[in-house]
This record gives sequence, structure tokens and C-alpha cells, in this order.
Amino acid sequence: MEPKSPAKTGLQESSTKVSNDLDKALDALEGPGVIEVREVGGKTRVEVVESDRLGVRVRGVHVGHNARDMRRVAEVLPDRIHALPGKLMPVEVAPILGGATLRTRPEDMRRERFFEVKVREDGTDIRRYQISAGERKSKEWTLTREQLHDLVDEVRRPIDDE
Amino acid sequence: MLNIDRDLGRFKRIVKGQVRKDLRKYMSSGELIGRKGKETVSIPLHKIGIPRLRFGENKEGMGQGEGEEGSDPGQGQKAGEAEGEHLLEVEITVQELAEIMAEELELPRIEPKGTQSAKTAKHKYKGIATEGPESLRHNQRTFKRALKRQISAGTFSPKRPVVIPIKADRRYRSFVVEQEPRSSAVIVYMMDVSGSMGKEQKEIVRSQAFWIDTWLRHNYDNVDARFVIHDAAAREVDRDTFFRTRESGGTLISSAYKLCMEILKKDYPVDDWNIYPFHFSDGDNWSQSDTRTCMKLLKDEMLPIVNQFSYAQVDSQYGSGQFIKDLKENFADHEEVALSRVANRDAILDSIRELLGRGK
Repeated sequence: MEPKSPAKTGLQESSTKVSNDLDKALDALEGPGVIEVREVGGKTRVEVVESDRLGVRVRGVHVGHNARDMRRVAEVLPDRIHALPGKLMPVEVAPILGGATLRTRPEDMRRERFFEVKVREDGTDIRRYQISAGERKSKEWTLTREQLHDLVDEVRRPIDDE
Repeated sequence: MLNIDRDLGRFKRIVKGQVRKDLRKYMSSGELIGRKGKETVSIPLHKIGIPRLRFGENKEGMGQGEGEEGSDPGQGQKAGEAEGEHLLEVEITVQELAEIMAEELELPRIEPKGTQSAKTAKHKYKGIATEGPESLRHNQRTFKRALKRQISAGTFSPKRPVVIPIKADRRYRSFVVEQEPRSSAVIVYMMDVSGSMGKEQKEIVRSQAFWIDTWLRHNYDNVDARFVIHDAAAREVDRDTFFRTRESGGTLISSAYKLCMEILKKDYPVDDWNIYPFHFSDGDNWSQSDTRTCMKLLKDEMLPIVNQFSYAQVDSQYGSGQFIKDLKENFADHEEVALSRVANRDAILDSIRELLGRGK
């Protein structure tokens, strides 16, 4: 069996640490609030509406990282993110502005709800929206803790890793 | 009045009534775009009765005239299988179309500003000259001159009234140059062509631009239209490119407003021109800091010089963006700001009413 490279091992360790720290912060949280976890590469922040041992209801997730090549990010993320229902597609890619916006594909939208993933050079914001009479309103969603770990990991992982 | 004139008048009234009735449909379908000529618009009418002869009851008696033997029948084309569609194409002038729209939407006529200082030179054939091209010869004046000459020379005889003009009698129409006040307007169309604006949104913008153009051309003698597209950067393009371009970049609305101001400052002195910037977007600006820049540009630079700034926010499949709310928040009490949200094609008519209904 081929030994794992030191970089990959380091990344796995970092992911495990972030997941553990997230769990600890969630356990410590009473009622709604914001939890923050610091790790190399940036800060992960979760706006929590409610949580228990199994799952968590969130309003938004911010994952800190360093991303430079926005075209590559917009290309890779839709295939990489599995922790959100429906597949994402790039809507706006603006290297000149240092960012990209991805949303749930129209064919994957259910009951006029979609996810928006805003990637910027220093981090990514994930939110869900509900369209009501044409108006877009922020809407919380529920994940298992494992899905939250996966989501953070999928977004944090460097793009060069693909 | 001849019968034919009366019938034509009646037919025109029927056509106008039909166009008025179907106006919402024409506005939402964009059917008239591409049918607009310089002066007229060709309109397909689906349900209009063509006048035809109706026969009365058969009465006794018969008649026969002289006839000639006919030629052999030729080989015709095969008959079609599908049912025919009875469309009647009628042409109405752009002015008439604008009037129909104004009546239906209850649009007030625009009160132009700055028309006194904007003047245009017009050539009018008001004068008489002793020289000129034969095509402009004034026969009546020439004859009068010849008559005067013959009477004063004693060569005119009332018993034999023959007047023969010589070269010196010839008079010609000549023009004078008059300065007339002119009402001129410039429309700057700005459109967000970033990745979030889809094909459907652009079609809606195209339809709206057609009706805006029709209305403003009806109200002003001279209308200039300029086209600006933007995503993260703005550039000026021609009409065709304006409606066809799609980019994938992000949206920086301020880039369009900055370019619009450059165009206006360079080519359209505020005292001579009525200025109408129209901006179309889905309202997803890149950042709140750029939105703040937009508000400052509007407040400090654009609004003081325009007749009206219009913003139409076209809903995408992801709903409506934030920008219109920011505009409402900042300019709710500004009369020169017209805002409209267009949910879909059916909302075009109401949106046009919101944008053009202020008589600005």
C-alpha cells in the first residue's frame, strides 16, 4: 500500500480537528447563536438556529480559506459539494473582482428554494433562499452534524487538491 | 367626403381598436419588435373581419352578357394540407402606435425642459429671388411681374390679354434659414449582462426598450439613443450588441453609471438635452460597497441633470435582487426616480406605465 503524502495526512488531520472543534462548539451552545472555529487557512463560522446531538439547523455557514483562481473554483465546487441537496452551477465568475457566485441549478430547485454559495478570496458564504412572490428571503436549513462536517471540509479543501 | 374615405376612416378606427385591445399581448410577446420601420410599424391582426359581399335571396329572372371562349386551364400547384391562418398585416404609424399606448396606459404627455435654448436651423421656402433653378420657378409671381411690366410699357391689351414673360420677369422661390426651438432627448439604455441575467430577462428588456423608444420619439423631435452594457466593467455598444451580449462576470452597477455620466458630460449639454437614463438589471449587485457608490453617483451627479432616471428590475428564476430595495430606501421621495419591478412578460405593460407615467 502506497504511503499517504505528508500534505494529505496534514489535511486529514486538520479536517478532523475542525470537525471535532465544531462538535465541541455546538455542544457548548445553548439556543441560537454563532459558533466559530479557527484553523490554519481561516475561520469557520456557523449561524446556528438550533442544534442537538444529531443535527443542526443553520441560517448560514462561512468557511475561511484562501482561493485565488476563481474560474477553477467555479469549475470544481459544483462537483465537489455533496452536502447540499441539488447540484450547484456557477452564475457569476469574476476573477477581476476576486469572486464567484454559485447557485442551485434551476432544475434542482424544490419549492422555489435554492442555495447560494458566494466564494471570495478569503472565504465562502453558504446560504439558502426561498422565493416568495418574487422576493428572495433567507431561509435556514437542517443538516446532520456529519453533513455539516462534510460541507465545511468540501469548501475548505484546496482546489489544487483535485 | 367620398365613400372610400369614410370606409378607410372606419377601417382605421377598427384597426386601432383592435390594437388597443391586444396591446398587453403585443407588449408581452414582443411581437412588434423587428416590425418597426422608420415611420411605420407593421402589425399582424388575428381577428378582424374582412369586408365581403353578402348575397340576398335569389329572385326570378336571369341575365347573360357577351362572352369569349376561355383558354385551356393550366397546371396548378397542389393544394396544401394544413389549415390556413388568417392574419391581416396592417401598417400604422409609430405616432399612432404611441398614441394608442398613451391612451391605454393613460400616459401624460412629457413636458420637455431646456427646449428654449436648443435651436435647430430649418430651411423654409418663404422668400422670392430673381435667380434660381427652373425647378423652383414661381409661375404666379413670374406672370404677375410680366403683367406689371406689360401694363407699364403699354403693351398689354385687355381685349387681347396675352402676357408673355421674358427672362427678367422670372421669379424663383428662395429659402430662408430660420432658427427654431427644438426638443431633443437622449436615452441612455444600460443593461446588466452578467451571468445572472438570462435570455428571458433580456427579451423582457428588449420589449421594454421598444416601447420606451416609441413613446419618447413620439414626444421629442430629435431622439438619440446610446447603449451601455456592463458586468464588472461597462462599455458602450450598438443596439444589436446591446440585446445579444451575455457575459459570465459579476455585476458592478457603478461601472455603468460612471460610463453613462461620461457620455452625458461629453456629448449632451444639460441645457440643450432632455436626458433619460434607463437601467435594467436583476438587482444582484456584487457588493454593498458598490451599491453605496451607485447611490452617491446618482445623488450627486446623475439626478441633478436628468429629466428622469428609470430603473427596471427584471426577476430571474432566482427571484428579485436587492438593488431596487436600496434605491427605494434612498430615493423614495425623489420625483425624478422611477422604479419598477418586472416579474415576467405579462408585467411589461404595468412596468411601462410605472416608468413613463410621470410626464417627465
